[in-house]
Amino acid sequence: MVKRISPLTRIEGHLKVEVDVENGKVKSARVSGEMYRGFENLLIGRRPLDAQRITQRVCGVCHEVHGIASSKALADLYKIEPPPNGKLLKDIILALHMSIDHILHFFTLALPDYVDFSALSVYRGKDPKLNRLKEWVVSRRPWLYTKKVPGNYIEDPQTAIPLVAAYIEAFDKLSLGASALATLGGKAPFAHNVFPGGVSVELTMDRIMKVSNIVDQLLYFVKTKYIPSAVEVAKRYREYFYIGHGYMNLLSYGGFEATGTPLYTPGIMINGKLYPLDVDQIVEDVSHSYYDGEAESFRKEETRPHYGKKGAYSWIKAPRYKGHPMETGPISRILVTPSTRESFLSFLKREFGVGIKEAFSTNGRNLARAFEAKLLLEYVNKALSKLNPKESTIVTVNPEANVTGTGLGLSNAARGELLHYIEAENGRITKYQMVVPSTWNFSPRDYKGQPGPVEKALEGTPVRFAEGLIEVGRVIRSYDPCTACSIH
Amino acid sequence: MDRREFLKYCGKISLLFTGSLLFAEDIARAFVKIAEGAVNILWLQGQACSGDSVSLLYGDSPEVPELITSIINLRFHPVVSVAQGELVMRIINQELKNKDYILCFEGAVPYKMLGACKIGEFYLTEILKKAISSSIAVVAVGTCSSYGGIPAANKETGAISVVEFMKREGLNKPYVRLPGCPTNSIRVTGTVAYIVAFEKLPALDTDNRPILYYPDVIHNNCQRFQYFSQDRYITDYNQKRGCLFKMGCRGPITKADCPLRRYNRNTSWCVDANGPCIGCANPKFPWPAETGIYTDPNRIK
Ligand code: SF4
Ligand code: SF4
Repeated sequence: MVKRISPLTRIEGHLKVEVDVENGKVKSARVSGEMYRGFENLLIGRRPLDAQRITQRVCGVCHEVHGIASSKALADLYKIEPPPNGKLLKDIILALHMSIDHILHFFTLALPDYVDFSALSVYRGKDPKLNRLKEWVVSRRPWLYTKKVPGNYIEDPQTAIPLVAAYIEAFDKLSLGASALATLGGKAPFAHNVFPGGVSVELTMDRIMKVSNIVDQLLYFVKTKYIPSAVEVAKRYREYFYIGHGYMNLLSYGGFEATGTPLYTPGIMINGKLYPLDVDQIVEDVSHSYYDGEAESFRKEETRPHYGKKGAYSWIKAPRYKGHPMETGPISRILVTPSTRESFLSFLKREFGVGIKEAFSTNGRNLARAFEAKLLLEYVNKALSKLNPKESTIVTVNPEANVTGTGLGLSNAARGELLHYIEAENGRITKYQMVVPSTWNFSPRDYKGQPGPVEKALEGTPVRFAEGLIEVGRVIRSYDPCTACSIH
Repeated sequence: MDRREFLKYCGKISLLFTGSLLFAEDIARAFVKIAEGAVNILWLQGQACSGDSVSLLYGDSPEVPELITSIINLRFHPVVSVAQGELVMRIINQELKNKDYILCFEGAVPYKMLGACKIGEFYLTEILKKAISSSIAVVAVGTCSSYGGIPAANKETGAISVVEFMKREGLNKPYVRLPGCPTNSIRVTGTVAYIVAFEKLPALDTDNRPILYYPDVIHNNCQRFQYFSQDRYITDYNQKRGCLFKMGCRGPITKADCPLRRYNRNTSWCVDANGPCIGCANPKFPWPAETGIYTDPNRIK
């Protein structure tokens, strides 16, 4: 029997999933991205520097990642290298943004899959924010929080109330984190002072102090609320170490290198084995996507939209590495890099008694994200201490420079590894291609009929609550879907 | 909260949204109205990036829990609602029947390639037509929704603003434009609270932007205006003091309150962080391909 979630909520954008349920389990799944804007094509003919300001707007949830990836591709095109301060500032903005994006994902987007907010009705404590929410939930029965699909939610007040309290506190931390981003970038979402050659902000001691202060507060929240909440949920839902397994194929571009000791190393895992990364093995297949054309490398492909193409069911393309569908996200960076793999796996062993196989799961992904939030904030602290207010922050490029050539930017995003590629002739863009984390994860089938990573991970998911497909929603949200990004 | 505390709180909101304490009583009445379930907010997205929603989630005055519990009654929001799938369509349909909501719309509308945006099993355009017809008023949140923005720079989908969509479909509803990419969340919460409190739209300019939030061109309120009048310009980003005009700043031709209200807990804004204004709230954003975003000001017409 085919069932669907359409539209999926608490994600970015317009996504639909169809599952074929047999004997109480998902037999196969199809994920469809349902919104196209055509960024790659609207850039053609524009000046290269425009690409950075325009592509940063591919997504308002992961709002700094495309701007940074684009700035790296442009630096390659213009053949410039940012000064140390410029590199550090880009890393700081990216890492800070990614850590608050992780907080947003766990609390605002994912937690309502696990916790029943009406447990608040028995709250007896004194927290004014919690009391206001309680009063509201009890007296108004707001649709926003009470209209939910059937499922096995955490209802006992001892567990539920602290989780809801952390959910509320997370909003304060998002707003606080955004103010740190604004301190360096002017505003969040979308800093307008990040350029190929660095960041143009005036580096003052009080800016650095302010950011460092906020990073400490965020780190405290991650250690005392985020990680413990993620652990609590994973303990309550142990079965989700065995649900949402997927391929054991991972992609990492490495990253966060400006301090001199890189946080992540580049690499590939296929069927659980590690290999070096070669980006020229990446092609984008469109046989089941609404585009005309053949599977091509980002260096060659063109984006030719064709809605309603026969056999196609999604606006998302299907990137493949040597023909393999690859998963990317905090889990892929962490498991490909030796040092973080070791520390993450010992954390899993200590808390849950599980190993690397169970890391490929709904719980594994959510926990890796929480774990990474801590790694990123610690990295920011290190990077902040290396900034030198007396030195230059940027190499300025002339927006009207008559540049010809190509540029490749490999970068990171909250949802995985991000690639931007540009070609320009006489100061005008002739090609722009993005291979985006959610494109990898949410890709449809390819010409061989291989399901995309999420489609594969959904296979075997138990369906006990067929009405709203809560279990399917949990698996999908563990990948932190971003539809705007995936299609762009 | 007792009555005194409540009025004090309303005063704070009044000050925040209208710049004056005088409206505390009106705001208090608005809360009672909201508490009675009289006015709801339905938030829908078209060809969007969720930036305006995230701007709201990052909001500080008020923060989200305060906002949703006592200021706006959000019936449905694609990023916050706990519902998913069929249930979402049932909620939207129920609201369409109740006809008691202000529609906040984020993103552009693909008018040519209808399949470029779907909600559930429907084309966006089908749902949007009904959602506008049954609404009390429409708030176009962000630049895409107000003027078409980046999606409209792509000619394949025929993307247009929600305002243009209303015009083409002959839908007459009071509307407000809140451009900005994304727009400051204060503009959204303030506008909605105003509509609820006073049962009318706030004072608007000729382009239907609230004068309170779009009072003048950015340039006239810019902290670097003195540099401009002394002809002290930055020509390299390692210079940190000076006017950004020669780097292509669009402040002189873009109306918005960015230098006054600033962003993210009043922390900063583009020029304060030494980035030129790119005119993200401008009707022409992202600017014609020919001139580009950063261009020699002497060549801007
Ligand atoms: S920086 Fe921009 S807005 Fe400010 S004075 Fe100069 S031109 Fe005007
Ligand atoms: S200053 Fe200009 S670019 Fe910055 S937010 Fe305001 S309108 Fe947008």
